[in-house]
Parts: sequence; structure tokens; C-alpha cells
Amino acid sequence: MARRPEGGEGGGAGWPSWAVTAATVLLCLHIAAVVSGALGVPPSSELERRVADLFTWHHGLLDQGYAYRYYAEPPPTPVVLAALHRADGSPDVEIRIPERAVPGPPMRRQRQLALANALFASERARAGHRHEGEEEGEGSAGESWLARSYASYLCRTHPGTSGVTLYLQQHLIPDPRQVLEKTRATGLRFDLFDESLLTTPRWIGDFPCDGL
Amino acid sequence: MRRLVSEAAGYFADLVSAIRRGWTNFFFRPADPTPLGLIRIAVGLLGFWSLFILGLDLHAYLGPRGWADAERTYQGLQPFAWSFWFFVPESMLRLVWLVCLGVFGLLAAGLFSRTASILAWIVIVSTVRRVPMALFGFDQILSTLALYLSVSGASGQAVSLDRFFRRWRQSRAAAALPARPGLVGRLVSPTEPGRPAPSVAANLGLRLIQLHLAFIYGMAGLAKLQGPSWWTGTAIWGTMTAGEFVAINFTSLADWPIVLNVLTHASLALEIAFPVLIWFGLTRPLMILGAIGLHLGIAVVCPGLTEFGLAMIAANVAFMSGPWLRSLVAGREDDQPALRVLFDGACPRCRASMALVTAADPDRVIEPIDLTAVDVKTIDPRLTREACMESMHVVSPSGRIAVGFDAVTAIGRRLPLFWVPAFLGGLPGIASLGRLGYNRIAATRPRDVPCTDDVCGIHPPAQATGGRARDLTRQR
Repeated sequence: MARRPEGGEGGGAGWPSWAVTAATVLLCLHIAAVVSGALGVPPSSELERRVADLFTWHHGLLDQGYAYRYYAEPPPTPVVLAALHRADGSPDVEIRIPERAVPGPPMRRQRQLALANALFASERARAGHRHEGEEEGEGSAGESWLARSYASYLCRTHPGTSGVTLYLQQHLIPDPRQVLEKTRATGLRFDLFDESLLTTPRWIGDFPCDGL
Repeated sequence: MRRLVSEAAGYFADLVSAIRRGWTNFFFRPADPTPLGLIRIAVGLLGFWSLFILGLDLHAYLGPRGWADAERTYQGLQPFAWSFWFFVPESMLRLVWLVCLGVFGLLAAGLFSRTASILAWIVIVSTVRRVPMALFGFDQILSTLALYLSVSGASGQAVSLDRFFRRWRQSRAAAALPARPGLVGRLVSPTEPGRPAPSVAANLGLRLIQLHLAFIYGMAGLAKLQGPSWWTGTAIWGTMTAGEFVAINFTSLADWPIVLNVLTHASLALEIAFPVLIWFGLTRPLMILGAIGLHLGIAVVCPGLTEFGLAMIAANVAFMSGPWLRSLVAGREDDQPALRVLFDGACPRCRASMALVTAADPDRVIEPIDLTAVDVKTIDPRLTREACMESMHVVSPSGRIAVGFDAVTAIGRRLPLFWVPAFLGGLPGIASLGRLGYNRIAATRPRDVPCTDDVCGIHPPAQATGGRARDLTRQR
């Protein structure tokens, strides 16, 4: 069934030596760049980071340098909640990213999950900078431009909105013991959207539409 | 001391020499391009699908004032990063998106493969750079596969329309040649064989994908060793009960901790073992099957990661043997030809049809036989020349004979390029209409006029056939 590609099956022509040498140099560079890119992200050593920095040009040009550290520890899932304040004083419109049910293929919802993750990561970075004592302000590392940009988009696509307040929430993974206890107590299947699994929404910021 | 130094020097000289030999053998041997062609199809289809889905929220993702403001995203790009999406005005967004879909369509079909693979990579990288906030593992894998397809330039060497059209030109040219003495019947096959020629470029592309894939699994496995839940055997619980990801409620598995332990440890073992055991022939099928199982399992649990799984499975194709992959549709070499096709070599239309069929042959599935040059009884005693002259006959190794339109669909079922028309042609109603149409065409088909004088004999090939011989005779 599966074999390594076999050589010489039909006597394909070999390459001239100069081409082999050139390709070898490029291959070595590329392999070094891919490996160093994956090793250079935290946690990593000073040496690994320095080597990775040598290949920034490669990672930028060829879209390489990924860490591939998928699901090292299954984390809680970030959720973004947006409250759209209406200019006419009517009740706020609530928007959730990811939406509970996104019409269309599942990949569409997966993209929304990625957006919530990105907002979560940018907020975490912002909190980190705050902790280090940096000042907040437009354009500084202290502000999540992604949150501002997302709020601005919501303002534009929802006419009549005077401002947007964004919150972050975490959707926790249930503890198996908690699941067993609840299932035995109620006799019903455990609800993965049970209130106990959703953390209290944490405020990100208020974004008036006329200021965006 | 001198001996120690000389032996150490000798050892290192041998080591360098062995590494050089191994490197050359690994990267610069010709390889069958079939797996690379299949990966090209997968990347084309997945790229098309992914971009199509982004298109459902086109302005939100790719518009200058989408979810992530284009200007700020551009400022945040890492050095040397690039994307054409930053320069597409809002009014042109849908048009450019459609063109990009077309690029993926060309890549999947294998039309202008080299150009299409480079353009597809540009589209993928540009999209990755424009929407960094909406990416996940799928985009990384697709970008990597597209990079190697475009760099190798060999993805169109197999299972591509490029190759089909090239072979079709050859077979049509052969079919247009006048009958030559010494040959048994008319030629209708391309000069290039059905099996694609092995190439160094294909090997380079495949080797890069293989190495990168082994590295990805290795890194994923090593990273998991940092997570306590992978040691306690409960990590899979975390993925199967992440409410935002899953489509099916697996919480009943809380009663089955051993099952969770087995799934967790098996996933981790596969990822750690893959980079080593994939290189040994005996364990390779096990690793590939394990990887396919892992990714299909993830797709069942988290439907949003289906495309990621498919991309990883496509990358695993790089480890599969080209002849084996081809044999899945063409059959084993011992079983070929799967069909012997008796056609009227004196009929230009029949030769043209056979030229189309032989060009689409992935190996030696079809053996065309000019019935005007053989005794049909030698093919199968049940055949008669009169019946064969009425309509095309197809004989399978098991002795089954299909006639006329049924022979056409039997051929189509054997050739991947014609699977869809063959399936449609076999549907009730369409099959009946097909038989009527075929019989009418076969009964009125033009045939070459036998060449009986010197003037006829010096006609250039292009004028000697094409069904015009009968008309020329009438004009005389």
C-alpha cells in the first residue's frame, strides 16, 4: 500500500551537479528555517530564539515558522460577547462570537472561534503589557486594536448603534466527576452549555461608534 | 596518537561521504509524480472550499474595513510578509475573490498546473496574512502543501488535465496518420505512456512534504508531553467535551475513563512514533492508517476541523507509492488490460473516439484493437466481424462482452476522467436514449475510402483523414 517514492522506476533523468548543489543549499536553508521557527516560540531557549530570528525573512516571505504545538493542553474556549447600544434607547442587541449556530458549513463557525481566540490573545497581551506598567493609548501596546476594529465593524454593519461594549468569557471544559454527579442526580444528559461552564463575562472596553 | 587522529579523520570522511550519498539518494532520485498530483487535487479543492467559506463573510474577513482593520493588520505584519488583499479596493473584492476561486479550480483540475500552483500559493499566503485573526491549523498545512507544490513545479505531471490534453494531442496525431504497412491496424494511442514518468522534481516535492509532515507530528507530540492531561490520559476528554467545538455530546464517556485513557495515549503515541516509524516500509502503512483514523476521529468530534483533517490526510498521501495509488483505479499490472476494445480502424470518428479514450487511460487499462486488421475470433470466439462492424465491442478478461453504448459506459467506468459521464450514462432512461443515439451514429459513420492510386497515397496526414475522404471522392 504505502511506500516511499521509488527511484528509477522509469529511468527519469537526473539533475546536473550545479542544480543539485543549488537545490541542496536552498533545502538546507529551508529546513533550518522551518525547524528553528518551530523551536523558537515560547517556551524556548535563548539560543533557539536567536537562531529563529535569523530566519525572520524566510518566515515572512514564505509563510513558514509555525510552532505546530497543537492542543498541548486542551484549553477553555474563549467567547466574545458584544452589547450593541441602540441610539434610540431600545434594548441592547447581543452578539456572540462564535454564534451558537452559524448557518452554513462548520468551517464557518471554526473561523469565528479563531476570531474569539485572537481577541482573547490580544486582550491577554494587553493585560501583560499593563502588568509591565506600559501606558494605555491609541497605537500603544496597551490597547487591543483588534477589539477596537471589531467594535468599529459592528458599528458600521448595525446602523442605529451608538456604541459597543465588548466582553470576554471562557467556556470551560466540564470535570468528569461533575458530569457524573449531575447526570446521576438529574438522570439527564449533561448540557455542554450549562451555565456553570461559562465564566462571568469580563469587560474589554466601551467603544462609542462616533469615536471609531 | 597518530593512529587515533587518522582513524577519527577516516571516520568523519566516511560519515560525510555517507551523508552526501544518502542526501542525494533521498532528494535527487526520480519518483512517480502520482501522489503529488493527488495532493494537488486535494489542495485545489480545499483551497477553493476554504476561500468559498470566507466569501460567505467576504467583507468581514477580507474587506479593508472588516473585522480586522486592513491598515492595522498591515502594520502588524512580520518583516517581509506580504498580501495582495491589502491592495484590493472594496468595490473589487468580489471580483478578485472569484478570480482566486478560479485559480483553485485550475489547480484542482490540473490545468496550467505550474502557473496555477504558484498563483494558488500566492492566494493562500495572501489570505493568511490578511486574516491572521481567523486562522487555525488548516491554514498552516494548506500553505505548506501549496508551497511545495509550487516550488517543485511537478504537480501537473500526473492526474492533470495538462497531461491529458498533451496525450490527447499525441493520440489524435497518431489517429490521423495514414495506415502504415507492417503495423497491425491503425494507431490511436499517445506516444507518452499512461504511467507518468518519474521525475526528480516530483521527488523533491514529495520529500519536502514527507519531511514537513513528520516534523509537524513530532512537534505536536512533543508539545503534548508538556500538558499534564496527556500524562493522566484525560486530554481527549477535554477535546470531546469542549462545548464550542463539538457537534455530538460525548459526556457519557465520563463513565468510561479507560476508553478516554486509551484514546489519549494512542493519539500521543502515534504523533511521537510517526516521525520515526513512517520511514520503515513495514510500519509505514500502520502509521498512515493511524493518522487517517486520528484525523477522521477529530472530524467526527469537531466538525469544524474536518478540513484540517483532510489536509493532513492529503499530506500523508506523499508517503504512498505511486504505482499502488494508480493500481487502485487501473488495477494490478497482471490484470491489465482490463478491457480490450474493438474499433473500426477505417472510421475516422471511431479513431478519434479511441484517441480520446487512450489519452485518458491512467495506465494500460484499455487495449484498442483495430478490427479491420485482426481476426476478431482470436479475441473472443463469440465475436463476429459483422457484429463488430455494426457497433463497438468491449471484451473484459472475465469474458464479458459489452456492445455499443454499453461498451462506451463500460470504458468510461474504467477511466477516472469519465467516471461522471459513465455514471450518468448508466442511469435508466439516459441509457436507453444513449443506445438509440449511439446506434444511429454508428450506422451513419463515415469510413475512409481505400487508397487505390498514387495521388491518394501522397496526401499529407492531416488531409488524409478526418472523415473528409468520402466528400473528396464525391467532388471528383
